[in-house]
Amino acid sequence: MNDKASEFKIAMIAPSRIGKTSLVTAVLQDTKELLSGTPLSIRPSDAKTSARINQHANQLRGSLREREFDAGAMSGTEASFEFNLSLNSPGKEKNGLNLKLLDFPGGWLPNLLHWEGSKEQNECAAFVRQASVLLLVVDASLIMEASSSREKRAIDAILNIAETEQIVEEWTKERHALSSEPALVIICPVKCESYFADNGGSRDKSEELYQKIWQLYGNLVDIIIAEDPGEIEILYMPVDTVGCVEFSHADWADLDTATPLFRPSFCVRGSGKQKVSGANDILLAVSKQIIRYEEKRRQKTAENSKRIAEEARKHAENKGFWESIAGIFGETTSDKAAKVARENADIAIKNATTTAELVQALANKKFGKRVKAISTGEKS
Amino acid sequence: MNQAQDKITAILHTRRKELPEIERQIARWEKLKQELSSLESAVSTLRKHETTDGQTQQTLSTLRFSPVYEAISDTVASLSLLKARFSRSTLNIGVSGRARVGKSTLLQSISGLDDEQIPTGSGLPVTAVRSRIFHSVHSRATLTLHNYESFRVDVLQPYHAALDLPEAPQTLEQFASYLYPRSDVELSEAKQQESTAIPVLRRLKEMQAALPSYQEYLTGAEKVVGLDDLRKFVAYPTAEEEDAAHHTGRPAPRPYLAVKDVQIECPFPYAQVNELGIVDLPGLGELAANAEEHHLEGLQNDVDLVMLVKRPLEGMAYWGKEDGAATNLLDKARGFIQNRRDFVYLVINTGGVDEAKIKALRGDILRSVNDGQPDKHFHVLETNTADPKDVYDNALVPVLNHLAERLPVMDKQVRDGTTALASNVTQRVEQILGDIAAALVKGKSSNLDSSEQESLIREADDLRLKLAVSLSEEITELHKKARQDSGPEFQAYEDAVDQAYNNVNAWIDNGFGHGVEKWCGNAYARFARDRNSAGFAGDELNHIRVEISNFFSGIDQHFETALDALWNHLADDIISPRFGNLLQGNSGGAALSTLCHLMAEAEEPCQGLSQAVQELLALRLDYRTQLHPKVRRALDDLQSEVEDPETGEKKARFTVDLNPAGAERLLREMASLARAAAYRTRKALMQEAMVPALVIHAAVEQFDDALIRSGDSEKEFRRMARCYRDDIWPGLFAGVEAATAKGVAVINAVKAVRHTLAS
Ligand SMILES: Nc1nc2c(ncn2[C@@H]2O[C@H](COP(=O)(O)OP(=O)(O)O)[C@@H](O)[C@H]2O)c(=O)[nH]1
Ligand SMILES: Nc1nc2c(ncn2[C@@H]2O[C@H](COP(=O)(O)OP(=O)(O)O)[C@@H](O)[C@H]2O)c(=O)[nH]1
Repeated sequence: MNDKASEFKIAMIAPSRIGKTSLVTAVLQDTKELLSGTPLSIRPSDAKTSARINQHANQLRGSLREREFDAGAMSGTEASFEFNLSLNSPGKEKNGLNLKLLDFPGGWLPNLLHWEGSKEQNECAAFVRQASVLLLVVDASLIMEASSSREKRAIDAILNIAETEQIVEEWTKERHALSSEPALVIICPVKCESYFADNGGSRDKSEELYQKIWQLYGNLVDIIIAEDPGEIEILYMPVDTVGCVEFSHADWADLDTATPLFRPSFCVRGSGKQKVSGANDILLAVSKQIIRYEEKRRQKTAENSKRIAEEARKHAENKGFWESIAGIFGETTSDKAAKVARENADIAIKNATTTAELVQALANKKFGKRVKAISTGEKS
Repeated sequence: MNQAQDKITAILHTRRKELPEIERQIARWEKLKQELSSLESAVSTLRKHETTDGQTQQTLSTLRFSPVYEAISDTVASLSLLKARFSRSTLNIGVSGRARVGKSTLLQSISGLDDEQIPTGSGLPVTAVRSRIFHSVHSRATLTLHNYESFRVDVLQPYHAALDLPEAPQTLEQFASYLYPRSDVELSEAKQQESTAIPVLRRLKEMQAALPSYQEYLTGAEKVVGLDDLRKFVAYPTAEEEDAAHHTGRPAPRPYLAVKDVQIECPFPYAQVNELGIVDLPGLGELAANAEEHHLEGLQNDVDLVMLVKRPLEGMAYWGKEDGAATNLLDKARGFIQNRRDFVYLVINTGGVDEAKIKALRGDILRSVNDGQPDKHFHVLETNTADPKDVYDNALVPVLNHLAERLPVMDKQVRDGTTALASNVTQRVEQILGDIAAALVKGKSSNLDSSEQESLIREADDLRLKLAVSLSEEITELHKKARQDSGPEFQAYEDAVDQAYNNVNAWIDNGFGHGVEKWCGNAYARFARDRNSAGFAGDELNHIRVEISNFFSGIDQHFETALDALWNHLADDIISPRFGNLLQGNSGGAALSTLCHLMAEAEEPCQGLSQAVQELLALRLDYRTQLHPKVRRALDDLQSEVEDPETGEKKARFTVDLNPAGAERLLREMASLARAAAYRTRKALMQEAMVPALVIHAAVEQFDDALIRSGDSEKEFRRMARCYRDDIWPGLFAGVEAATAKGVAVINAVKAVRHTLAS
C-alpha cells in the first residue's frame, strides 16, 4: 500500500452474495478499459485484494464456460473485507488515488449501529461513518422476481432495509457536520441483465425496476433529505457485472423466518462473453464529487483564506479528508488541461498523464444512460 | 309375379321406415310409467303429510295407479309386437295343419328341398324342429342351438309339467341321472287317468336316454350346416333307426333336441320371390306339451299369413272339431287384423286322395265354415302339395297376390289397433291427473282473509329487505377482499399456484416424467433415427408447453374449494336461515339449486328470482378460461428455434452432439428452459391472485342486482310467499292450508307426466 497516495473511502452496504465482489471486479475491469492507451493504470494495490478478485474472475469464467450460472454457487462474503484499488501513473504513486471499498456482512449492521461486537466490527463501524460514499448494492432480480405475497414480504428482511435506513441516517448526520467533504449515496442495483435492453437483453423493464426501487428506498431518500437538505448527492446506478446472462428462476427458502433466503439462477445468453455495463459510472461519480468539492474549497479559500486556513488546521488534527486527498492535487493541473476536460472529456481522459488530470477529465464525462440523479446535492 | 315382387319390396320398405317412431313410442311409454310411479310416491307423501286436510287425503287415497301400469305394460307389449312385425326383413308365410296333412310336402314343393332337409313320413310324425325357409342364392342352414338352460325351460319343463313331475333338473348332470317314473303307475293318479300321459312319459325318457347324442350341441351358439347334413337336426329318428335301437337296446340319436330354431336358405324353383320366407308351424294337434302356445307365439311374431293345410284322408274329409279349434287359435294370432280371410287361407291337399273325399270336404267347408258362400270367411285353395308347379300356380300365386294387395291394409289395422289401445291408456292417465288436480284445488280451501293477506305481504317484503341488507354487507366484504393482497383466500390461491409449480419442477427433475435415463435413451434413439436433434427437441418442447399448462390447471381444485365455500356461505349463512323450512335438509350449492327449482316450479312461477339463483350457480372459476390466456405468453419462449440477435435469422436453439452425452446436455438445457418458463408462469399467476376474488365479487353483485333490484323482484317475492308460505313461515298462518313444497312436488310430477303424454 502506498501511504502517501490519496484515499477515498467507499462503504458497501448489502447482504452477502448480492454481488459486491463482482461489482468491485467490474469497476476494476471497466476502468482498465477506460485507461487503455494512457499512462495511467488501475489495479489492486495489495495481495489480498488481488487474490480475491482473481479468484472471483476464475469462478465466473468457469461458470460461463459451462453455461450453468447459479448465483449461489460462488462463495460469498462472511467476514469484512477491504478492497484496495490504486489509480496512478507509474513513478507518481504518491500522487495517485487509492480507492478503499469496504465489504462486510449485512448481518453486522445492528452491531455497527451500536458500536458493539468485535474489534473488526468496530473498525467497520468507523469506516462507514468516515466513508465519502455509501454504495447500497441491491439485487434487482430479488426485487423483480418476487411474486407471491410471502416473497414480497421477505424482500425487506433480505435487504436489511430497516438497518440500512438507520445507518444511513447516522452517516448523513456525520456528513452534514462536515459540509466541506464529498457525500454521495449510490443505490446500485446489480443482476439487472434481464431488465435492460441495452446490454444484450430483449426486454426493457427498467422503469418497473426503478419504480420498485423507489418503493423500497423512498423512505431512505426522505431520511437523507430531512437530515441534510440539499448537500448529499443520491444517485441511482444499475450495473451488470456479468452481462451475458438472463434470469431463469429462483429458489426461495425460510420465507416466514427472520432470515429468508433467495437464490436466483441465470441462463447464459448468446456466446457467454462477459459484458460489464455501468460499472465505470461509479468512478465517474467519485471523480465528480472530488472535483466539485475541490472547486468549492478553492473558492472558499480565495474568499476567506483565513477561515479556511483555520478549518484546514482543524482537519489536520482530525486527519480529515482533504489532508488525505491532498496528494492528488499536489501536482497542479494546468488550466489548459481543465479546459480541454470540460470541452471533451473523452479526449481529456485519453490525454491524461496524471491522476489529477484523469479525475478532472472523468468528472466532466457524462454518466451512462441508466444513471438517474435522485438528489443532485447542489443547494438551490 | 314381378308386380307382386315390387309391391312386397315396397311394403317391407315402408314398414322399416316406421320403426323409429314405434321405438320412440315404446320409450315414451316406459318413461311415462316411471314418471307415473314418481307421481304416485309424491302423492302418497302428500297424502301422509300432516298439514294435508282430510278431504284431500280422502280423494288422494282413492287414486289407483296399478291398473294403469298394467295397461301400459300391455301397450308396450303390443308395440313390441308391432316392432317385431315391422322389423322383419322378409315377408313370411306360415304353413300349419295337423300332422301328416302334407305340410312338409308343401314346403318341399315350394323350396325344392327334399326329405333330407324337410322330412316327410306316412307313419310317425317326422318334423321335430320348426324351420324357416328363405329364397336365396345360397344353400345352407343356420341352426340356433339351445344351451342347457333354454333346453330345460323350452323342452324339458313342459314335459315335466304335463306329467305333474317336480321342476325339471337344474343341470345337465342332474338330468342325465334323473330317476323318471318307470311306468305310468308311478305317476300321479290324475295323470294315470290321462291317455296321453303314457306316450309323453315315453318320449321324455327317450330324450334322457338319447342325451349323449345331443349334449355336445347344447352350446347356445349358432351353427351353420350344409343342407346335406341337416336331417338329423330337424327330424325324428327314422323308423329304421327306431327299430335298430329297439333291437340293440342303444337309444336312437336325437340331435334335433338341441336345436331351437333352423333357418334354411336355398333357391326356390318357382316362387323366386326375394324377401319371401316360408315358416313351418308344427304343433296343431300335436302331442308335445304346450305346443299350442308355442304355435301362437310363432304366429304372432313371425308370419304375415297362414296357410292351413287340410287333407281329406279317411276320417278327415269333413270340417271337424279340431279344425274349428285350430281356426280359433289362429284368430288369437290375428290380433288387430280384422278379417279372418285376410290372415288365413285354407289349403285342401288334393294329392293322393280320391275325388269323392275331396268333394266331401269341399262341400263341408262351404257349408259349415263359409256359410254356403264361397270364400266368405276363408279363402279355400286346392292343390296337390307334392307337385311343385301345381303348388306354385294354385297356392302360392294367389297367396302372394293377396298379400301384395292386402298386407298394407293388415299393417294399418295392426298399427291402428295398437294406437287405439295406447290412446285408451292415455285417457286413463288423464283421468288420474284430473283427479289429482281436483283434490289439490279442494285442498287449497278458502283464501286468506284480507288482514292475513296484508300480513303475508309484510312478511314477504321484510324477507326481501333482510336479504338485501345481508347481501349488501356481503358485497362490501367481498369488495374489500378483492382489493386486498392478503387474507386466507389469497394465501390459499398462492399456495395452490406454488403446489402446481412444485409439481412442474418435480416433473422436470424426473426427466420430464420419464426418468432421466429413459428420457436420454429416447432422445438418443431419435437422434439416431432422424440424424439430427431438432426433431426430437421440437416435439419435446411442444409436449413440455402442454404439460406445464396441465400442471397449472391443477389449481382448479383450489377454485372448486373456493366456490364450494362461497355456496356454503351464501346458502347456509345468508339465504337458508331466512326461508324457514323451505330449504331444510339442503346445504351449500344443493340448497341454492333447490331454491332455484322451487322458484321456477312454484304454482305462480317466480322466473326472475329463479334465474338470479341459476346465474349465480353458473359461476365458474377455472385456469383454462380465466387465467391461461393471461399467462400464456410466459410459455412463448419454449420454441425450438430462436432468432439470432445479430442476423435476425431463425436458428435451432439446441445444437448438441448426436451421442449419449449430447442427449444429456439437451436434457439439461431443456430442463433449464422449462424451469424458467415454469417460473415465469408462476410469477404471472401470482400477479393474477386477485382474479378469483374479483370474479366472485362481480358475480355476487350481479346476483344481488338480479334478486333484489330487478323490476319484478318485489312482485316475485310476494308470489313466492303465497306459494310457500307454510314452508317459509311454518305455523304463522296456521289453520289455512296452502300449497306446500310437498304439494309442489306433486304438481311437478304431474307436469312431467303431462309433458311426456304430449310428446
Ligand atoms: N446475473 C448476475 N449475477 C451477479 C451479478 N453480480 C453478482 N452476481 C452473482 O451473484 C453471486 C454473488 O456474487 P458475489 O460478488 O460473490 O457477492 P458478494 O457475496 O456480495 O461479494 C455470484 O454468483 C455472482 O456471479 C450481476 O450483476 N448479474
Ligand atoms: N301322394 C301324395 N302323398 C302325400 C301328399 N301330401 C302328403 N303325402 C304323404 O302323406 C304323408 C305325410 O305327409 P307330410 O308332408 O309328411 O305331412 P306333415 O306331417 O303334415 O308334414 C307322407 O307320406 C307324404 O308322402 C300328396 O299331395 N300326394
